[in-house]
Amino acid sequence: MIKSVLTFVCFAAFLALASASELCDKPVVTDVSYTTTQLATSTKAVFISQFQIKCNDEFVDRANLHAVVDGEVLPVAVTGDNQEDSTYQVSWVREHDQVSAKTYTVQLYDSESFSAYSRAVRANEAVPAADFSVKVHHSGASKDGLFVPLEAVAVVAAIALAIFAQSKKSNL
Amino acid sequence: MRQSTLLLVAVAVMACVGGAFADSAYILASKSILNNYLVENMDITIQYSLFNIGEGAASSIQLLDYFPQEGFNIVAGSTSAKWDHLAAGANVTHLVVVRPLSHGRYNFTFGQVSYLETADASDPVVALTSAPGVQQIYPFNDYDRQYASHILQWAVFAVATAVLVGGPAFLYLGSRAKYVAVAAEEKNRKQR
Repeated sequence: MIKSVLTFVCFAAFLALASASELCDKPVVTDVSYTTTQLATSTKAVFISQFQIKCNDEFVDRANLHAVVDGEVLPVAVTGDNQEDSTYQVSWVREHDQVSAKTYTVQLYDSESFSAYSRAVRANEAVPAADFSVKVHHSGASKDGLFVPLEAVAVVAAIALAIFAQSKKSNL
Repeated sequence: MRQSTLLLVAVAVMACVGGAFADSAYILASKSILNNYLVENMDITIQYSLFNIGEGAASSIQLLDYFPQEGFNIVAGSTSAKWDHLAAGANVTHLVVVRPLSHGRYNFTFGQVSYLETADASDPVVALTSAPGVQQIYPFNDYDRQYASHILQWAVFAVATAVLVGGPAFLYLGSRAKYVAVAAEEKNRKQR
């Protein structure tokens, strides 16, 4: 009797744990992202994506997620205090000359799909599709001011005007 | 520069005391500012790097930092972050972007990283990140004066120059045209 109760409790606990670590089929994801746009504010290109996940209209709390960006695996941080609507953050850093202006797709896997992903990578097979993904658009980082400094343009224009006036004067 | 120095220190510490950390995690954390200039109302990018130089995995890692609300707006990222697991030899990068609301000197102090050294540890160990120290946040006018494109100022200058140079040139050309007409008239009369 006790053994069967224990078995039932074990099974129920396992079920509960298993469902807690899995996401639903179509999670609703709201995300905001940030990338470096001014060279003066960062010597490296910085990418930050923060998102919240809702499954069946309820926030998914403390999910164990893994992120993959351009083949690189990144850990996913859970941010904020112990609140019910957890925000997740994925952030990475690159040198400015290694990144181009494009949209980066962050593939997100929960713990089960990530084990399948790791297995596929080790066996050199096609990787499984992500549970969901977020996009980070990088429009490129630029320095403040114009490409050609206006002071240089003004100097060139002044010299050209002086030459023109001089030639006119000598033709009198 | 700070990153590579910290890495060098981490390797040195690992070499000296690696044996003492068998199967237990040891996290070194650095906090660095990625900006060239710190200017009010312009983003400040802060990078936290956590390195696990121990031989065991760390669990329940929490990074906590603080920026006073009246001095900074948080633009992106969060100053508190948790990770479940950091394997031995692995590292994690966390980024936060803040915007200072005024200029002056600010002391960027250390953040805190708490983690469980072993899987069955009960009390978390608290480590401190490195501190960038006191930094000068420049007024926006100073940065703008040096680095902005100043298109409006140059346009006003071009208009003023055009008036001052073009005005007399225009008058001269106008009166010269009259004299050229008179001289042509004289030549015509002499020829007839």
